[in-house]
Amino acid sequence: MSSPITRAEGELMAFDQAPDLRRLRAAAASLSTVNLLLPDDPAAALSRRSETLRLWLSLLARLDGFALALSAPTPGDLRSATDRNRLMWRSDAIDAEVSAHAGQFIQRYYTPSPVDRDELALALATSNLSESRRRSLLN
Amino acid sequence: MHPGPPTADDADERSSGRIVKLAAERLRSNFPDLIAQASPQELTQATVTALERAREHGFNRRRQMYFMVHLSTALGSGFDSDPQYRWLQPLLDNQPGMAATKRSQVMCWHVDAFRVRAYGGVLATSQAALARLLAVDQAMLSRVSRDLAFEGPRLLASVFPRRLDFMDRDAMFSLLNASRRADFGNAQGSGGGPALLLLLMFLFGHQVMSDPLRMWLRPLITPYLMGAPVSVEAIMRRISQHAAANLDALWKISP
Repeated sequence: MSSPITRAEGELMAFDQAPDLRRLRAAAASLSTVNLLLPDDPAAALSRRSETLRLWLSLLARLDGFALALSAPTPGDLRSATDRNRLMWRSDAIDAEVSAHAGQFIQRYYTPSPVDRDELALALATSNLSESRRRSLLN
Repeated sequence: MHPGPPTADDADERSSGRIVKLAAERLRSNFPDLIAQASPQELTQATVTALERAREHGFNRRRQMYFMVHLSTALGSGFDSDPQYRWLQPLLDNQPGMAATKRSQVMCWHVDAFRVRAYGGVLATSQAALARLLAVDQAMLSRVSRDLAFEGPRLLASVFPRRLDFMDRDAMFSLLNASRRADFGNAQGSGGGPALLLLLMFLFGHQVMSDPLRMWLRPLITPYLMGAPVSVEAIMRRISQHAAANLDALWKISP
């Protein structure tokens, strides 16, 4: 059986091929089950923490991109305004869920120590997240 | 006057006394070198204080309380108010939606991570690094004390450089001030007091001079602080040995 991290990565890749919000929700569900507290070598545990954070951030970046495409459709986007509106509701609902989970993960596993703040700031800087999203995750 | 019938308070007291006894016994069997120089009364006092602090942070189960006693022993009495470990604060405080058991497990996760990043993860290597303490002499202590704000952090970095990655500006500022304050009044002293106290606080916690498990340090360093002609080399040797035992305790912490 694959690990929650592998499953989440698979869902994100599937979303990239065919954007479907259910994939992002499934990825979030997998990431929520990652257990960092399993007995492990502390260095391996730290690496699992980084990997889990990277996936939470890339999930949020995909949600941001999806919402942006809905609010500012390209000329080739043939979806009706009502369809886009319904998708936006769903996207907002998933966003609220994912933001809460990602925020809780950061709060638990990234302390206010300078070394943790640095690692978090670097992960945020190398993500595709908007500035406001980065700020909200840092606070 | 006749004693009244047993009350719930009596039962609490008996149970509390038993936990103190068991926690002290665990310390004695797990960290014999670290507590070798503490008297039975000092060991009891250290345990009672750590258990009181544990309860204040909402850790009421026996396992959580033992964990807090171990942390107090390895990080120093009063670690929960030590600016060096302020990064643990969010997990020490009660948090809605996070049970005390989870908090203690996550805190243990962070202490493990701290050990790896601050000390390199290998006990023998970290203990070997303590040989650097033996290079500290009177000239160095005096020089650092004269320019504590600049030289103090450099002295600490010369022992465990990565430990400083866990100390923010406020933490360093607090520690420097605490070491200056602790030396206050020793105007006729050796001149190296603030640097020595800074080093001790860095190694054994900010309340090192009132830590029941480390009361033996007082007679060791007071003559030096008062300006008596004592061997800095002998002091540093004892500190280095105790720091090695302290690292061993840090390595043995489990939730």
